[in-house]
Amino acid sequence: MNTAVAKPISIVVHADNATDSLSKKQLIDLYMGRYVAFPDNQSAQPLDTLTPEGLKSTFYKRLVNMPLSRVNAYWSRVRFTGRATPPETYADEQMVLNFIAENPNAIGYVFSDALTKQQKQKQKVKVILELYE
Amino acid sequence: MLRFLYALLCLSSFFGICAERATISGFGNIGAVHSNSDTYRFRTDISRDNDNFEDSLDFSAISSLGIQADISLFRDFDLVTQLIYRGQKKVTLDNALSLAFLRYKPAPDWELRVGRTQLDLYLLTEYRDIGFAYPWAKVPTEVYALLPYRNLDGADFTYFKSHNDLDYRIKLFGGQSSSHIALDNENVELKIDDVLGVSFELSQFDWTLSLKHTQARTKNNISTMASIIGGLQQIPDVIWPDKAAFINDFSLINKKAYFSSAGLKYNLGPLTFLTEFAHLHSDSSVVSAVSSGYISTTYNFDKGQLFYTFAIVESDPSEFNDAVNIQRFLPNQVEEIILAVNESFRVFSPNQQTHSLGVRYDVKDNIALKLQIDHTNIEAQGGALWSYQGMNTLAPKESFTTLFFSVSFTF
Repeated sequence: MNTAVAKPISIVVHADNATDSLSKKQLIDLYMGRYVAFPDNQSAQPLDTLTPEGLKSTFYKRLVNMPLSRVNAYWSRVRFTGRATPPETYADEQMVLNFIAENPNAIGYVFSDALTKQQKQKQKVKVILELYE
Repeated sequence: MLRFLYALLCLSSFFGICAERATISGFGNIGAVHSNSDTYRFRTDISRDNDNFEDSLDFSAISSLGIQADISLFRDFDLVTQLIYRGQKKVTLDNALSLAFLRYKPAPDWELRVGRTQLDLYLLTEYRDIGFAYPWAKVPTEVYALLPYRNLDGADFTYFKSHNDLDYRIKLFGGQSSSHIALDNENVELKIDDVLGVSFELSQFDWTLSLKHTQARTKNNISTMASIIGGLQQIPDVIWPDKAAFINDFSLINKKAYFSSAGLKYNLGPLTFLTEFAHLHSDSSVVSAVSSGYISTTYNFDKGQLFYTFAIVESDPSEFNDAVNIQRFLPNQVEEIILAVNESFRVFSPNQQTHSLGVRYDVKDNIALKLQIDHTNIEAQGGALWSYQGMNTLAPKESFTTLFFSVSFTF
């Protein structure tokens, strides 16, 4: 059984970010290059992550109910028409959390249990939305 | 304008090395097309050369390769450049450069782009060369093959607003463009300027309603039109009192052309519905009023997509109504001119329908295999969208099947 499928995913931002909560629709706008800003109109910098295995595909499945290949097809028409660029990709959750801790306009996603293991990082980031199966 | 675009390209090369964030990406399509018609050969649009009559398997018609650089310059500014090879016989900077613009985006809800962008005439025109972006092996010929123009050299302004779960996007654009049109045995340039357009999108993530309208001014006559007009002017006014009005209508110089489109995309569970209606007309009698449209249904499963599309284009070419009367007085002198006028009236006058059935399967997250079979019915004199060797006025009615296979990818 793929355990990634059942785990909740936390959407995290810098602790000083003025946004305390986000709707799923706002998260879709942010991650699909439609309106890349927080609700207070501050520009956002969304991040993707390559590992752990299954995180990225589970995130997009819950967000837009698409496999990664169709997400890539969507991005190929947004990117190659010059509308927007896809989220910057980091190697793992720790790098995503480190980047968010240093950048108030960054937004990323991690498995919720990764945060409990990273109490120190949690000082600098906060969860604004959780995505469940 | 080309100098400005070249400067943007040089800037992107320089900043691509220096910039804090520069990314290179690309896309491609390797495809083969086979048709069982001996009369008509497939081409994606009327800018493609009309000479592929020797091979029954065509590897160039739907093959392309593009590379793009996205470069963040300073706060609020970025540069995007894109080069594409899509079978140009002679590759030049002008015909390979598909994007080269500087973007100013001081706020998330609006942006200004200056330079070369993709011409946003109909729903799919901006990304019709990016095979990975859509399920089909190629965009519907009936709507898109009559549009040779791809780029706009100018500027556009986009405003985005989200309200009550609805997203509104409006884009205004202006500039000029140029493309080649492949006729019987020659490839001629047709420039348009004073391009002014508006694109409006109303959407939620599951559906998008799109309305677009553009007007432009054609700048020159194509092929033998100048000599045809010279010949028409020799006909005495007493025989043909309406000569001046006819010639004025016939010419493409400084004539407005109008492009309108309404499209709707709707996702319903595993199904995606896409439909578009487009209309093109011109103040010149050479470009007849052309109405076209398609409806496409896609069933999405796991990593695959099954689709069916029906597309149709109808046009009503102008007629040389005074020809009979003129020929009564000057039968030998005007026969060729009348033939040439009627031939010109059918360059932009397609009449055909196609049923398409196909499958796309994503073997990897960035590689897709596609197989598509088209059955096309072309009306007599209505094959303007296809490679055809002979006079348009003698082009026969025909029904035939075309098979497409392609591998689309991004990197």
